[in-house]
Amino acid sequence: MVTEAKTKEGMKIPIGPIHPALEEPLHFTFTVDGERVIGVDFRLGYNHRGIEKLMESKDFNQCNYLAEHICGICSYTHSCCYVQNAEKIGNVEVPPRAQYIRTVIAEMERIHSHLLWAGIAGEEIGHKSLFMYAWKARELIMDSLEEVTGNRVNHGINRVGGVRYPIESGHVGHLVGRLTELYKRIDYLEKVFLKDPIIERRVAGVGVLTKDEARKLCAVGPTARASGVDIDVRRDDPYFAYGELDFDVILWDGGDVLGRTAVRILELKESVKIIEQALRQMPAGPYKNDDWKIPKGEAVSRTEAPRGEDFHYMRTGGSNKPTRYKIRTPTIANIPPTQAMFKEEQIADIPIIIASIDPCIGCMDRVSFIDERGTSRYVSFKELRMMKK
Amino acid sequence: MKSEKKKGSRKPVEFELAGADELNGKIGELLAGEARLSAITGSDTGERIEMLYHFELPGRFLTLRVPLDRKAPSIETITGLIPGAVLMEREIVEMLGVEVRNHPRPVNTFIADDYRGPPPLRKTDSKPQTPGA
Repeated sequence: MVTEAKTKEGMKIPIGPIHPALEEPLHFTFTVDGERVIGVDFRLGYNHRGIEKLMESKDFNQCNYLAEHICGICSYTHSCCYVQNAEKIGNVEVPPRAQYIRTVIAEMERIHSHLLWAGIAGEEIGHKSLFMYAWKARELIMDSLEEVTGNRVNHGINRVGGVRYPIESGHVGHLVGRLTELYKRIDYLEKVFLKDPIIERRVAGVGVLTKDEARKLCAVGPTARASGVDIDVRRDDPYFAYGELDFDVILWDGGDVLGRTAVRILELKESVKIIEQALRQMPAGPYKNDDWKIPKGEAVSRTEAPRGEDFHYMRTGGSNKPTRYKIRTPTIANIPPTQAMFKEEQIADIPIIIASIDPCIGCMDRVSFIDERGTSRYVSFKELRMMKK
Repeated sequence: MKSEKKKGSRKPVEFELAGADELNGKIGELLAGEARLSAITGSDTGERIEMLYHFELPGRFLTLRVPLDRKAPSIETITGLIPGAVLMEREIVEMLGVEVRNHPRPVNTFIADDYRGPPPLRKTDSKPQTPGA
């Protein structure tokens, strides 16, 4: 923690919010002794967009779209959390067909997010061709997402009480075909990531998070499961159609970067399995229910986002807007565990360890400088512009 | 490897009122029963500040609701029991102006150091002021 970094002597290296080795806009200050990391501190909120506050000024339909724009990768999971909250407070009955469609889209999103991550992980360890292979495979699912929902990333298919349109039979055929092809490519990626000796030597034993640390530091999702913490909202608190589908939760016991990679790669296969089952078992019937009104009340809802448990809380006061909306994204839960992962690691391992939790955070507003006398100061955007001149 | 845990059913969501002074004791009891902290919500209802501690337990999803005085909201940290709550509490300190006593992280993490104005998520009519804006 902060105090630890201060008590030990060492050189401080600031990384982020803009840095060639770190695409995500978060700031880390590493205290290093030679090549060894002995302390780490972080700073967030570089582009805090005030979405929770903004939610209070939007009506229940607009909130759905806003929720979907929280993230640019796992956008659908936030929209799912929101509609579940609204449906719980309004006691809205959702047709089973809609629940199956939501399950299919949610799993398609997991596939595209995990493949995106696999590409970035490849790039971070200097394996550029792996990055290309993973992203090429990802295009298969992106094409299907565009075909089924009309959009590649922010799908806009959810609505309170159901979905906006069903999956057409022609699109189902295309999707099944692409999933068969995708399965082969996942097999290949599995072989490369888990059996290639070069990758294994690069990531095995790096950034270890023990089971006890993962529990205490409230890790979620693949980060927790790779440390052997057996949690998955889809199985423990089955929402949508997950209760009726058969799938496995993947665990790993090493808690290292290799484990987090393995969990994600093997989860891809489970997602393919879930989509295929959901398409087979999808009931006929209505896919939306427009008869709803949201009274005064409060609700919490959770989904298993690609990065872990996503949590939303909503309180309403009887008007057409929420009075309080709280979002706890999985990345916020996974930031404190990184401090345990960095301990005693090498500087060269920093990028892959950060990438291994699959962080997903907003943008920057200013830069931190640490001068050679050891005192740090923050520079405002105005000063930064002056320096540029 | 695959988990051998069996599929559960939908967990009922429960809310329970707790006093600020008995919070850590209650959380200690919950942790003994395999509770996992899911999130902490801070909320300004207009009359009081509410802290909501959301826990996942076997068989239910429990929220401890702790009402605080709106004029001087203050509560003891729970990071002694759950170190992972550090950012969740920090967010509430900065966004709602709640004093979290003995919090291990005394520095701003989410909002800018030069932000001058009321805590952003408080219900208020006055607009926040940023220097130079």
